[in-house]
Amino acid sequence: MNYLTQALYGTLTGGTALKNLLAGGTAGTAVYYQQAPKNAAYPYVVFNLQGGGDINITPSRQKDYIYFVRGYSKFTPAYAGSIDAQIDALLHGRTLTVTNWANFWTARTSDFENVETSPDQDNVYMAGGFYRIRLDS
Amino acid sequence: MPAFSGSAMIIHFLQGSGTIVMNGDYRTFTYTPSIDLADQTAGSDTNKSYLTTIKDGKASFGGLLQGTNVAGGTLMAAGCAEGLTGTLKFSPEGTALGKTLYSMPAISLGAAVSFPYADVCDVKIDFQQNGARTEGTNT
Repeated sequence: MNYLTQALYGTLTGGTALKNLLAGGTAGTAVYYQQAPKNAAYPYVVFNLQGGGDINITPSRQKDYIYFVRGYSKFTPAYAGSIDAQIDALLHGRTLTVTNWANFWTARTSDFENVETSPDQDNVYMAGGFYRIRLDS
Repeated sequence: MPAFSGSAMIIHFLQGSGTIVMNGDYRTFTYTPSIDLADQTAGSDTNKSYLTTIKDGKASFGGLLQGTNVAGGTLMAAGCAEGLTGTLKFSPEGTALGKTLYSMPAISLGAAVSFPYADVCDVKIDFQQNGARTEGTNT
Protein backbone atom coordinates (compact mmCIF):
# COMPACT_ATOMS: atom_id res chain seq x y z
CA MET A 1 0.00 0.00 0.00
CA ASN A 2 2.64 2.49 -0.99
CA TYR A 3 -0.04 4.96 -2.01
CA LEU A 4 -1.41 5.23 1.52
CA THR A 5 1.97 5.05 3.21
CA GLN A 6 3.08 7.99 1.12
CA ALA A 7 -0.13 9.89 1.79
CA LEU A 8 0.16 9.44 5.55
CA TYR A 9 3.86 10.29 5.55
CA GLY A 10 3.19 13.43 3.53
CA THR A 11 0.37 14.48 5.83
CA LEU A 12 2.33 13.90 9.03
CA THR A 13 5.53 15.53 7.82
CA GLY A 14 3.46 18.43 6.51
CA GLY A 15 2.26 19.34 9.98
CA THR A 16 4.41 22.14 11.37
CA ALA A 17 2.99 21.92 14.89
CA LEU A 18 3.69 18.20 14.95
CA LYS A 19 7.22 18.54 13.63
CA ASN A 20 7.98 21.22 16.22
CA LEU A 21 7.52 18.51 18.86
CA LEU A 22 9.80 15.98 17.15
CA ALA A 23 13.54 15.50 16.90
CA GLY A 24 14.99 17.87 14.34
CA GLY A 25 12.06 20.28 14.58
CA THR A 26 10.59 21.63 11.38
CA ALA A 27 13.81 20.84 9.53
CA GLY A 28 13.57 17.17 10.40
CA THR A 29 11.44 14.28 9.32
CA ALA A 30 11.22 12.18 12.48
CA VAL A 31 8.26 10.27 11.11
CA TYR A 32 8.83 6.62 10.35
CA TYR A 33 6.88 3.78 8.80
CA GLN A 34 6.68 0.51 10.73
CA GLN A 35 9.78 1.09 12.86
CA ALA A 36 12.20 3.91 13.68
CA PRO A 37 15.75 3.40 12.46
CA LYS A 38 18.37 2.21 14.91
CA ASN A 39 19.51 5.05 17.18
CA ALA A 40 16.85 7.45 15.87
CA ALA A 41 16.64 10.49 18.10
CA TYR A 42 13.55 10.95 20.24
CA PRO A 43 10.86 12.18 20.04
CA TYR A 44 9.48 10.68 16.88
CA VAL A 45 6.36 9.32 15.25
CA VAL A 46 5.84 5.79 13.96
CA PHE A 47 2.88 4.60 11.96
CA ASN A 48 1.99 1.20 10.57
CA LEU A 49 -0.79 -0.74 8.93
CA GLN A 50 -2.66 -2.82 11.50
CA GLY A 51 -5.03 -4.52 9.09
CA GLY A 52 -7.73 -4.19 6.52
CA GLY A 53 -7.97 -4.33 2.77
CA ASP A 54 -10.53 -4.72 0.04
CA ILE A 55 -14.23 -4.63 0.89
CA ASN A 56 -15.47 -6.44 -2.23
CA ILE A 57 -19.05 -5.26 -2.07
CA THR A 58 -19.24 -3.50 -5.41
CA PRO A 59 -17.55 -3.77 -8.81
CA SER A 60 -15.65 -0.58 -7.99
CA ARG A 61 -12.77 -1.11 -5.61
CA GLN A 62 -12.93 0.04 -2.00
CA LYS A 63 -10.37 -0.22 0.77
CA ASP A 64 -10.91 -0.17 4.50
CA TYR A 65 -7.75 0.05 6.61
CA ILE A 66 -6.76 0.52 10.22
CA TYR A 67 -3.52 2.39 10.80
CA PHE A 68 -1.78 2.81 14.14
CA VAL A 69 -0.12 6.20 14.45
CA ARG A 70 1.73 7.14 17.63
CA GLY A 71 4.41 9.33 19.09
CA TYR A 72 7.35 8.24 21.27
CA SER A 73 9.10 10.45 23.78
CA LYS A 74 11.61 9.99 26.58
CA PHE A 75 10.45 13.18 28.30
CA THR A 76 7.08 12.52 29.91
CA PRO A 77 3.82 10.76 29.13
CA ALA A 78 2.30 14.19 28.66
CA TYR A 79 4.82 15.03 25.96
CA ALA A 80 3.91 11.85 24.09
CA GLY A 81 0.30 12.89 24.55
CA SER A 82 1.02 16.26 22.97
CA ILE A 83 2.49 14.54 19.93
CA ASP A 84 -0.58 12.35 19.78
CA ALA A 85 -2.82 15.42 19.90
CA GLN A 86 -1.05 16.91 16.90
CA ILE A 87 -1.32 13.63 15.01
CA ASP A 88 -5.03 13.62 15.80
CA ALA A 89 -5.38 17.18 14.49
CA LEU A 90 -3.81 16.13 11.20
CA LEU A 91 -5.80 12.95 10.67
CA HIS A 92 -9.16 12.76 12.45
CA GLY A 93 -11.94 13.85 10.12
CA ARG A 94 -9.48 14.97 7.48
CA THR A 95 -9.30 14.03 3.82
CA LEU A 96 -5.99 12.54 2.77
CA THR A 97 -4.59 13.06 -0.69
CA VAL A 98 -4.03 9.53 -1.97
CA THR A 99 -2.78 8.91 -5.50
CA ASN A 100 -5.45 7.22 -7.65
CA TRP A 101 -7.86 6.90 -4.71
CA ALA A 102 -10.53 9.04 -3.09
CA ASN A 103 -10.33 9.14 0.69
CA PHE A 104 -13.88 9.45 1.98
CA TRP A 105 -13.38 8.50 5.63
CA THR A 106 -10.51 9.05 8.03
CA ALA A 107 -11.39 8.83 11.70
CA ARG A 108 -9.80 7.89 14.97
CA THR A 109 -11.37 4.75 16.36
CA SER A 110 -9.45 4.00 19.56
CA ASP A 111 -6.56 5.25 21.69
CA PHE A 112 -3.49 3.52 23.05
CA GLU A 113 -0.78 4.61 25.48
CA ASN A 114 2.02 2.72 27.19
CA VAL A 115 5.59 2.90 28.41
CA GLU A 116 8.55 0.80 27.36
CA THR A 117 12.00 0.50 28.82
CA SER A 118 14.73 1.09 26.32
CA PRO A 119 17.96 -1.00 26.33
CA ASP A 120 19.69 1.86 28.14
CA GLN A 121 17.01 1.69 30.86
CA ASP A 122 15.24 4.91 29.91
CA ASN A 123 11.48 5.12 29.93
CA VAL A 124 10.03 5.63 26.48
CA TYR A 125 6.48 6.94 26.57
CA MET A 126 4.11 6.23 23.74
CA ALA A 127 0.72 7.76 22.95
CA GLY A 128 -1.27 7.27 19.82
CA GLY A 129 -4.43 6.11 18.17
CA PHE A 130 -5.88 3.75 15.64
CA TYR A 131 -7.31 5.40 12.56
CA ARG A 132 -9.79 3.92 10.17
CA ILE A 133 -9.07 5.01 6.62
CA ARG A 134 -11.47 4.21 3.80
CA LEU A 135 -10.74 4.68 0.12
CA ASP A 136 -12.80 4.45 -3.03
CA SER A 137 -11.31 3.89 -6.48
CA MET B 1 -24.15 -26.55 -13.29
CA PRO B 2 -21.91 -24.03 -11.61
CA ALA B 3 -23.32 -21.35 -9.36
CA PHE B 4 -22.30 -17.79 -9.99
CA SER B 5 -22.05 -14.56 -8.06
CA GLY B 6 -23.41 -11.19 -9.07
CA SER B 7 -19.99 -9.76 -9.75
CA ALA B 8 -20.44 -9.87 -13.53
CA MET B 9 -23.85 -8.15 -13.46
CA ILE B 10 -24.51 -5.53 -16.11
CA ILE B 11 -27.54 -3.25 -15.57
CA HIS B 12 -28.72 -0.63 -18.03
CA PHE B 13 -31.75 1.65 -17.97
CA LEU B 14 -32.42 2.97 -21.46
CA GLN B 15 -34.53 6.11 -21.29
CA GLY B 16 -35.16 9.14 -23.46
CA SER B 17 -31.93 10.98 -22.75
CA GLY B 18 -29.63 7.98 -23.09
CA THR B 19 -28.48 4.82 -21.39
CA ILE B 20 -27.89 4.88 -17.66
CA VAL B 21 -25.19 2.36 -16.76
CA MET B 22 -26.00 1.28 -13.22
CA ASN B 23 -23.60 -1.55 -12.48
CA GLY B 24 -20.48 0.52 -11.72
CA ASP B 25 -21.13 0.72 -7.98
CA TYR B 26 -23.98 -1.69 -7.55
CA ARG B 27 -24.36 -3.84 -4.46
CA THR B 28 -27.67 -5.61 -4.92
CA PHE B 29 -30.18 -6.11 -7.68
CA THR B 30 -33.40 -8.03 -7.40
CA TYR B 31 -36.12 -8.76 -9.86
CA THR B 32 -39.40 -10.16 -8.58
CA PRO B 33 -42.04 -11.31 -11.04
CA SER B 34 -45.60 -11.70 -9.88
CA ILE B 35 -49.02 -12.52 -11.22
CA ASP B 36 -52.51 -11.53 -10.20
CA LEU B 37 -54.82 -14.31 -9.17
CA ALA B 38 -58.58 -14.69 -9.38
CA ASP B 39 -60.13 -16.70 -6.61
CA GLN B 40 -62.23 -19.47 -8.15
CA THR B 41 -63.10 -21.21 -4.94
CA ALA B 42 -66.77 -22.10 -4.90
CA GLY B 43 -69.42 -24.48 -3.72
CA SER B 44 -68.22 -27.28 -1.51
CA ASP B 45 -64.51 -26.65 -2.13
CA THR B 46 -62.43 -27.26 0.95
CA ASN B 47 -59.30 -25.68 -0.47
CA LYS B 48 -58.91 -22.40 -2.24
CA SER B 49 -58.02 -22.45 -5.89
CA TYR B 50 -57.09 -19.67 -8.30
CA LEU B 51 -56.99 -18.64 -11.90
CA THR B 52 -53.88 -16.86 -13.08
CA THR B 53 -54.58 -13.52 -14.70
CA ILE B 54 -52.19 -10.60 -15.28
CA LYS B 55 -48.40 -10.81 -14.99
CA ASP B 56 -46.40 -8.09 -13.28
CA GLY B 57 -42.93 -7.51 -11.88
CA LYS B 58 -40.69 -5.18 -9.93
CA ALA B 59 -36.97 -4.65 -9.90
CA SER B 60 -34.88 -3.02 -7.23
CA PHE B 61 -31.34 -1.71 -7.55
CA GLY B 62 -29.08 -0.82 -4.63
CA GLY B 63 -25.62 0.64 -4.86
CA LEU B 64 -23.12 3.16 -3.64
CA LEU B 65 -23.94 6.78 -4.33
CA GLN B 66 -21.15 8.66 -6.01
CA GLY B 67 -20.90 12.43 -5.91
CA THR B 68 -22.00 15.40 -7.94
CA ASN B 69 -21.88 15.06 -11.72
CA VAL B 70 -20.47 11.54 -11.49
CA ALA B 71 -21.94 8.66 -13.47
CA GLY B 72 -22.89 6.72 -10.34
CA GLY B 73 -23.94 9.85 -8.48
CA THR B 74 -26.26 12.69 -9.35
CA LEU B 75 -26.18 11.76 -13.04
CA MET B 76 -27.57 8.30 -12.32
CA ALA B 77 -30.11 9.68 -9.84
CA ALA B 78 -31.32 12.19 -12.42
CA GLY B 79 -31.38 9.57 -15.15
CA CYS B 80 -33.58 7.39 -12.98
CA ALA B 81 -35.81 10.12 -11.60
CA GLU B 82 -39.28 9.06 -10.54
CA GLY B 83 -41.67 8.76 -13.46
CA LEU B 84 -39.06 8.27 -16.16
CA THR B 85 -39.94 5.42 -18.47
CA GLY B 86 -37.63 3.30 -20.53
CA THR B 87 -36.25 -0.19 -20.93
CA LEU B 88 -34.54 -1.99 -18.10
CA LYS B 89 -31.97 -4.55 -19.20
CA PHE B 90 -29.84 -6.72 -16.98
CA SER B 91 -27.39 -9.52 -17.64
CA PRO B 92 -26.56 -11.39 -14.42
CA GLU B 93 -23.60 -13.27 -15.92
CA GLY B 94 -22.29 -10.39 -17.99
CA THR B 95 -22.80 -9.60 -21.64
CA ALA B 96 -20.71 -12.33 -23.23
CA LEU B 97 -22.28 -14.08 -26.21
CA GLY B 98 -25.06 -16.42 -25.12
CA LYS B 99 -25.37 -15.21 -21.54
CA THR B 100 -28.84 -14.48 -20.21
CA LEU B 101 -30.34 -11.08 -20.91
CA TYR B 102 -33.50 -9.88 -19.23
CA SER B 103 -35.31 -6.95 -20.80
CA MET B 104 -38.55 -5.18 -19.95
CA PRO B 105 -40.27 -1.85 -20.27
CA ALA B 106 -40.07 -0.15 -16.89
CA ILE B 107 -41.00 2.96 -14.97
CA SER B 108 -38.48 4.28 -12.51
CA LEU B 109 -39.94 4.96 -9.09
CA GLY B 110 -37.06 7.30 -8.27
CA ALA B 111 -33.73 7.32 -6.47
CA ALA B 112 -34.03 6.86 -2.72
CA VAL B 113 -30.78 8.07 -1.17
CA SER B 114 -29.30 7.50 2.26
CA PHE B 115 -26.63 9.61 3.92
CA PRO B 116 -25.28 7.95 7.09
CA TYR B 117 -22.66 9.97 8.96
CA ALA B 118 -20.21 7.12 9.45
CA ASP B 119 -20.64 5.04 6.36
CA VAL B 120 -20.81 5.30 2.61
CA CYS B 121 -23.88 6.94 1.11
CA ASP B 122 -26.05 4.70 -0.95
CA VAL B 123 -28.93 4.79 -3.39
CA LYS B 124 -31.88 2.49 -4.01
CA ILE B 125 -33.90 2.66 -7.20
CA ASP B 126 -37.07 0.64 -7.71
CA PHE B 127 -38.58 -0.07 -11.10
CA GLN B 128 -42.12 -1.05 -11.94
CA GLN B 129 -42.35 -3.43 -14.88
CA ASN B 130 -44.45 -1.76 -17.57
CA GLY B 131 -45.11 -4.52 -20.07
CA ALA B 132 -43.91 -7.95 -21.02
CA ARG B 133 -40.58 -9.26 -19.78
CA THR B 134 -38.35 -11.03 -22.25
CA GLU B 135 -35.63 -13.47 -21.35
CA GLY B 136 -33.12 -13.95 -24.12
CA THR B 137 -29.40 -14.09 -24.52
CA ASN B 138 -26.75 -11.56 -25.34
CA THR B 139 -25.75 -11.59 -28.98
